[in-house]
This record gives sequence, structure tokens and C-alpha cells, in this order.
Amino acid sequence: MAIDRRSFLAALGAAIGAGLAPRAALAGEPVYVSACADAAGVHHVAAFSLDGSLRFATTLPSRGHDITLRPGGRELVVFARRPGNWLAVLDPGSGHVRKVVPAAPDRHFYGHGTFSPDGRLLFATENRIVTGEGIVGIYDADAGYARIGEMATNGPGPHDLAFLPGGERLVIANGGVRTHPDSGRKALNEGALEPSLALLRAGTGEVESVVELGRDLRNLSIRHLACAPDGETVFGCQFKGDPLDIVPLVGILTARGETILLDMPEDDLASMANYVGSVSLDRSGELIAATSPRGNVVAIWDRASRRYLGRTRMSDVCGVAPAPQNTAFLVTSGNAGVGLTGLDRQSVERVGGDLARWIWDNHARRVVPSV
Amino acid sequence: MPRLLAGIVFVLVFAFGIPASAADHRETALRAARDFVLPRYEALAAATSAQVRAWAEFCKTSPPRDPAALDAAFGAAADAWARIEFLRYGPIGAEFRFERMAHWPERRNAVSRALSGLVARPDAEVFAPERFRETSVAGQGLSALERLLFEDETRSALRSGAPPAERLCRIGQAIANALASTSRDVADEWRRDTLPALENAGEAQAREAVTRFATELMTGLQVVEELKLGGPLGRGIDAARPSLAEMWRSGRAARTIRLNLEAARALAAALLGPQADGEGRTVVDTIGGASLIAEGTPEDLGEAAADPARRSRVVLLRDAVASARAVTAAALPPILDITTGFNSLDGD
Repeated sequence: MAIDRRSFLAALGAAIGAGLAPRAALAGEPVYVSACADAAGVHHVAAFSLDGSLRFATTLPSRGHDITLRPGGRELVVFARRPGNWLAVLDPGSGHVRKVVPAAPDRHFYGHGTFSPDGRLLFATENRIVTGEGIVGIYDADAGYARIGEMATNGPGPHDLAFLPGGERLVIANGGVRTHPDSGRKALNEGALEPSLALLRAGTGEVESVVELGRDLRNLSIRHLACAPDGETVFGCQFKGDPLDIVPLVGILTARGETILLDMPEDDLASMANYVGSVSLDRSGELIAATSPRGNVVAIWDRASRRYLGRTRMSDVCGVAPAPQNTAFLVTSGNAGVGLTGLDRQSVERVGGDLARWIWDNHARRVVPSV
Repeated sequence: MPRLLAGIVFVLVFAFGIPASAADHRETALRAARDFVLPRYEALAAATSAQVRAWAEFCKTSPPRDPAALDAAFGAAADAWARIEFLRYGPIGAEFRFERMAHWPERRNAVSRALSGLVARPDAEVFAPERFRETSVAGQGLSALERLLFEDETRSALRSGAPPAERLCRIGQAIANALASTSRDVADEWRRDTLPALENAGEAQAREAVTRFATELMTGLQVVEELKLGGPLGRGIDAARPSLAEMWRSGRAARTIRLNLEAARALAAALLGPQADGEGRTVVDTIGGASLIAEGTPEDLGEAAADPARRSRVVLLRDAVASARAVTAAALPPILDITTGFNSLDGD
């Protein structure tokens, strides 16, 4: 499945446009981006507004995963889903592909990446294939995304990563699952995962600390992150142990480096089916949302008090991002379109009617802040 | 002559199987709703309502009492549920009704704990419907009712009238009432809201409905393969876990699977319509084949999974379900002109 720039661009040329009516964004209008598939099963990355209008839909050669906006709003970067061998740099307005960066030799992408706050460097989670060692690849955005280095994450299967406030330290969700591209996405250490949260100095790669959840939770793969302005990091997990066990799935890494697993009533926890697909904070940073596509559930907590506030139901829900209003979230689904949910809503309120014809993939990101 | 030509074109179109169009998605969804969903929820509402009457009758009879009528009513209600169980689309998905209908697989002994809690607490207010639905969902549905009726201790108390028989009667009636009221609401809302909405659905909504039906059909097959059969089978005979069979207490483990598979076959047939041929026919027949094998599977499926002489019959059924699932996943979406969602089946 090797993809070079030429075949990538050929794939792009083949399918953009048909049936789409892109509309230019208004200044300050919130725009969301997500990987998706169309009815024919072709993979895209698309941007849309809450009124349902599509900004762009760019064809991808294979399934995409996360998307990150370069600070300053100059570029969007889309990562191939693991074990992915490309990342694509897009114009955030038109969706045109500016550059495709293949994975380095003996490396593949895990699907997530983030920029340094000054927008100069891109950090992407990767696998050193021969050893299965987790690494972060470092790319210089001003130098055409040249790969200028890498650093070890201190655990296998790093997935999501984020900068803590201050822009010097990266927090990395080491999922703990060893994989090899020859065996696809299969876990090679099933039953004995090595998940952790690692704090790295972005400038030097120095490992500041590695936090584990303890032996009882060693099969709880830490996968997705959401950082609050005060330095707390929310993490969402997927349990890969005995399916009849039931374990907490969402936690907080405090600014002091302690982990707190968030409580919820047992019925509600059981309905998450041991699987969280995405986590997000609302615009104010006060609320936490976690989605479970297997349980068809969105659960919400108050961050300051750690108190569980409730859940709503949406079929195959996975993508979640801050809505323009505080205390609300945008949620996306593989078979039920796009909606808004939050404290003042009993259920998920559908938005952007025609967006339901797309199959929305795991993650949605808000890319243009409303003024 | 033009009519003859039109006839030939018509035949050719069907022979080569054009992909479903916009109008077809609505027709497909309506066929599934009318032929499959509505009659099954109506049957569920009727069976659960009969069960309410059976409990009322039983509990006012002076002991010793014969629970045979309760057993029969439970069997009919559980049958009706197994015939529509894998559907989450529509009103059953709202207000966590689905979780209230049954609680399986059981985690952390949740059903037993919920029932003990209901037996131990002193008040009767908890049985008011609006209060009862606030209790643990594990204690509200068919799984809890089965335990009440088929565990030796509670069954003999119900029979003899010895304490806590009265309390058990209140619990049984509260569960039966909750099941009947949820089932009635679901059937009514389908008729009143969901079906009319589908009749007027645009392409996006119609496609979404067909996608949901197909996805849930495949998820249903996955649950049968991985949990209902894979659970008791374990990774090998030494790891077999008979008590992970569903409804083993009432001896319904294999029957439930057979009814699930019949339901999957019926939904596939409804979605594909009377003109199903070629690959569509194969989908229906392969699920039907698995359902036939289920008829020959021992009723004590959990014990059979741990029995060297009989384990192969359970393995055979699992393999049949696995191939039905593979055939369905490969053939059904393209025939219905849909792409099934991937978040729940293939996330990251």
C-alpha cells in the first residue's frame, strides 16, 4: 500500500468535485474538519459549517484519521490511519493538497499529530517498525515539512499527543499496543499491554515523567487526549482485557502529574462498552465529553468537580469537538450524521441535514474559532 | 411493440441488477419497517402484556402455586424479544429502553446485585413505574425476571409463598409492567412517528435508515458469534465457560440464538425485497443455513461447549454464523447501495 506523492495526487484528481457545492466560509464562522467516506466508500477529508454547508471534500488515497490546524490557520495536516504511510498538508480554505509527506523509512504514522504553539514544528506519533518502539517524528513546517528528528515516547503504540500550556512539554498517550505492519492492526502483546502517559520536553526529547495506571488496568489502552488551558489533560481509553470486566474509561492527568479516573454510575459505564473513541473539552474547558461508538453513547462530566453529568445516545458516535456555545459539543457519526449535544439538550439535536450522507470517521476538529 | 421493448428493458435491468436509487432506499426502509419491525414490536407488546396478566393472576393465587403459567408467559415474551433484539434503530434506542429490556452479558454480577437490592430494601415506593425505572437497569428486564423465576431459591419461595415471596411478587410484577409499557411505547411510536417519517423521508434519511438496518443486522450476527457462542466456547475446551451462555437458567441458550438468526434472515429478506437474486439470495440462504444448524444445537449450549462429545456441534454453529456474517458484510452493502459506518466496528 505504498503511496507516493504522484499516486496520491492522481487519486485526488480522480474524484474531487462531483456533486459538491463548496461555499466560502464567512469570517469567524466555526468550521469543523473530519475524515469521512462517501456513499461509495471513497475516503475524504471534509470541512463543514453547522448550517450543513460543505467547505471542501478532498479525496484521500486511504482512510484518514486525525487532523490538526497549524497555529495561525495557515495549513491543515491530515494523517493516514495507522499503520499509515502518509500525511497530507492542505490549504485550510480550499482543501487543496499542498504537500504529501511519506512516512520515513522503517517508520509508519499512528494517525495523530500536533504543532508546536509557534506553528513551526509538527510532532507526529510513529512506530519504529523493527523494534516496535514508540517515537515522535519531528517535521519542520517552514522547510517543507522536512523530517528533522525524532524522540522516543517511552512506550509502544503512541496514539494521540498534545502540547501542555507553555508550549514546552508534550503529553503522549502511549496506547501500549505493539503492532507490526506485516500483521496489520493486530495486537502482538494482547493481554499484556504497556499503556502510559509520557511527558516529554519537546525541545530535547528528555522524558520528564511516565505515568502508568497500575497493574489492574494494564490492559486499558490510553488513546486520546484533550488539554485544558490550566494544564490538566483529559484522557480516553479502550479496554482490551476480559470483555466481561468493566473498568473506568476516562481520566484526568492533573498539572501535578497525578491521574484521576472519572467516576460514573455502573449502568452508564457499562453502556460505554469498554471503549471510548474520542474525548473533547467544551469551549470553556469546563466540560468533558467522551464518545463510545460501540455503546452509541456520549457521556459528559464537569471537569472542576470531576462530577458525572449524564449521557445521551447517538448511533455510531465517535467524533466530538467544542460547539460554538459553551457547555455544548459537536458530535459526528458513521451512520447518523452530525449533531449538537450538551447540558441544555436532552438528546442529540441534528444539524446540517445533508451532512448525514457522509460516513464520519473517528475524529472531528474545530478549526476556525468564532469571534 | 414499444410495450414489448419496455418489457425487455425492464427484464434486462433486473437481470443485471442496477444499484438501488434514491426512491429505492425509501422503499427498502419501508419494506423493513412494515414487514419486519412493526409486526415484531406488536408481537412483543402483546406477549409482554400477557405476561403482566400472568403475574397478576399468579400473585393473587394462594400458595402453594404452580409457576407453569409464568414460565410460559416468560418464554413467549423472551421469544418475542429475541425476534427483534438486535435492532437499536428507532424508539427502542431512545431513553435507554434497549438496556431496560434485557441485561446480557452480565458484568460484575449486576443482575443478582440489582435483585438483592430490590429484595432487601423495605419500601414499596420503588415499584412505582417512574421510580422503578431509576433503579439499576440490570434489575429491570428479562434477565432479572429469568433469574427470579428460574433460580431455585426464589422459585421455591414464589411457589410456597414463604418469605420473601410477597416481595418477589412485587418485583416480578414491576419488571413485567416495565417490559410491557416499554414494548407498548416502542410499538406505538413506530406506528405514530417513525413509520410516517420514513414514508416522507428524503434520500439522506432513507439511506441512513437502510444503513442502520444493515449495520444492526451485522452487529447482531457479530454478537451471536462472538458473545453468545464465543463466550461459552472460550478459546478451547479447557477454557469453556458454560455460565456465559445466555438464559441458561431457563434452558433457552440455543433457542434464543435460533430466533436471533431467524430474525436476521427475515430482516435481510425484507431489505432485499422479493426480487432478491444472485448474491442477495446467497445472503438470505446463508443466514438461513446457520439458523437451521441452530435447530440441531443442544439446548444446554453452555454445557455442550464444555463437553468433549458435543462441543463440535456448538463450534459448527459458530462457524456457520461466522460465514453468514462474512457473506453478509461483503454482499449486503453493495446490493443496498450503502456503506456501513466504521466507528463502532473498526475504530482506533
